[in-house]
Amino acid sequence: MISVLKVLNLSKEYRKNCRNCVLAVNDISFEAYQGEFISIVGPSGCGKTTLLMCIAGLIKPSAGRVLVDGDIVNGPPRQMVMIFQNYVNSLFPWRTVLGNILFALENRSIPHRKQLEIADEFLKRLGLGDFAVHYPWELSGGMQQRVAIARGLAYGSEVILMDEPFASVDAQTRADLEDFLLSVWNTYVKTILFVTHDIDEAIYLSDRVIVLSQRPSRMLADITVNLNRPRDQIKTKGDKDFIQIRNRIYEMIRSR
Amino acid sequence: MTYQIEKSKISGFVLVALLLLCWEIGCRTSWIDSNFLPPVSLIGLAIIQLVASMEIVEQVLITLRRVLVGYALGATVGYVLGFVCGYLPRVYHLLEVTIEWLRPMPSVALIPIGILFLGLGDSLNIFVIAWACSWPVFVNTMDGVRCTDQVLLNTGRTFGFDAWAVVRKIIVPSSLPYVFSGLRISLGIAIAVGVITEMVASGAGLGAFILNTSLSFRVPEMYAGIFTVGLFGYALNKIFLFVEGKTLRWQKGFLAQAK
Repeated sequence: MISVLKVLNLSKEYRKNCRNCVLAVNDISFEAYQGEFISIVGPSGCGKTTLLMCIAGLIKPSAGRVLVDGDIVNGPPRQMVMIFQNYVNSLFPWRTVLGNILFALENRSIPHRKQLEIADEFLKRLGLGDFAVHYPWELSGGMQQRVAIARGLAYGSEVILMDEPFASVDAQTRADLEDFLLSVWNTYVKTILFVTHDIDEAIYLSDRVIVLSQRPSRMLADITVNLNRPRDQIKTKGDKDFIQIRNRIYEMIRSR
Repeated sequence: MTYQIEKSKISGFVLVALLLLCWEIGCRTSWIDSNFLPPVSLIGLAIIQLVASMEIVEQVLITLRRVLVGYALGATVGYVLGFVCGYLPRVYHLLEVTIEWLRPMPSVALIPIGILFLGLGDSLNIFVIAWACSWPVFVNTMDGVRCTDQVLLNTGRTFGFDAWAVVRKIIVPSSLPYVFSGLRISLGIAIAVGVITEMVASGAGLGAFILNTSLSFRVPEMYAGIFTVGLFGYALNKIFLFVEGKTLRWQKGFLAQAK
């Protein structure tokens, strides 16, 4: 197994003034291997997003380091891309669906025609082919989140960071998006780091689940999920092992 | 829906026609003193004569040129300054006192200074208009830049764009609705300030025409001039709305979704 991402003793403290310090993330370390799907769960407000933003290089940690492919992260690295929770605010309303996906490619020195080809391919694979010239706000929430995922995939980075991407869609759409994400993850074999507050979702999707405590968040456990793939919303979630892992995590979060 | 809008527009025109009719009747029945407020028909006649003799067309062109040049200049300065101040809070803190001191100054109060430096004529007019126009664009652009959504900015950064590309690809388009509302306020101001400046300190343009006809007691011609200013503003605003609608088509849909 090839290690792609290393998080070493990461801490983040928000400092308003000398007296007012909030420790959001407290000394977290873990490693992610190529092609792994890792979820990070924890109670709401525990600093999951802060942790992810630090890993993405969008905010500076107070202590500790993040390494991707052995390089220290100092600002957003080429090898990682973040997909945000709030698709309404992360898609550009003045760009069409196609334009939004092209955004991921404009930074690379590829000719425009090739960019169009790549964007087109992703649109088709993600079932958005008929909506290329629509604006994001003309689509449903689930579709919009798909566009955001397509854009993230089109960037072609090794590691994809996702911050509660399915938190603001309804339950049915959410289940569809989960399966959809697993299918594209299978085709592209990306390493995915997925933050969620939903324990079932975390177990269902992942190879490993990292459990965080209340703020200041420490790591409570790093649990390996050995459930068969491909996973199925009904069968997997009814599996004995699934239930056992879920109960374990629930107890862990509740007792702290 | 469209039908309803069309219908309300038509009744709007009917209302205007009714008001004009009342005016005409008021004058004809000597209920209104026609020396100071001549009947509409007489004003209409004056407009036709003034257009035929090209007298008013000339004045309109003079005013139009001054308004457009002054507006363009003022809007550009306001936009650039507003953008820089919105993007770099340090620059704003440095300039804040100066700006907040200059901004509330009524632009017409600058006319005497303008006369000293620029004399009477085009450059004075353009300067005063530009001054007055720059502020609404400045304030709105600054707000627009500051209000750029943090998630959009982070999206730009996570896709590896540098600060300059984030400005071009994200901050400029996302602040555009604010910029346009500033531009729209400024357009009205440009016309008003332009006409006032022409009245106070210029021998030409619609403002001067209105004042001169009033002083020489050409009352129907004076009203013809005032009507023309109204029409002038109406036309410029229509053109503006058309351009805005084309440019900000996305904003309407986006806002509708958010509701």
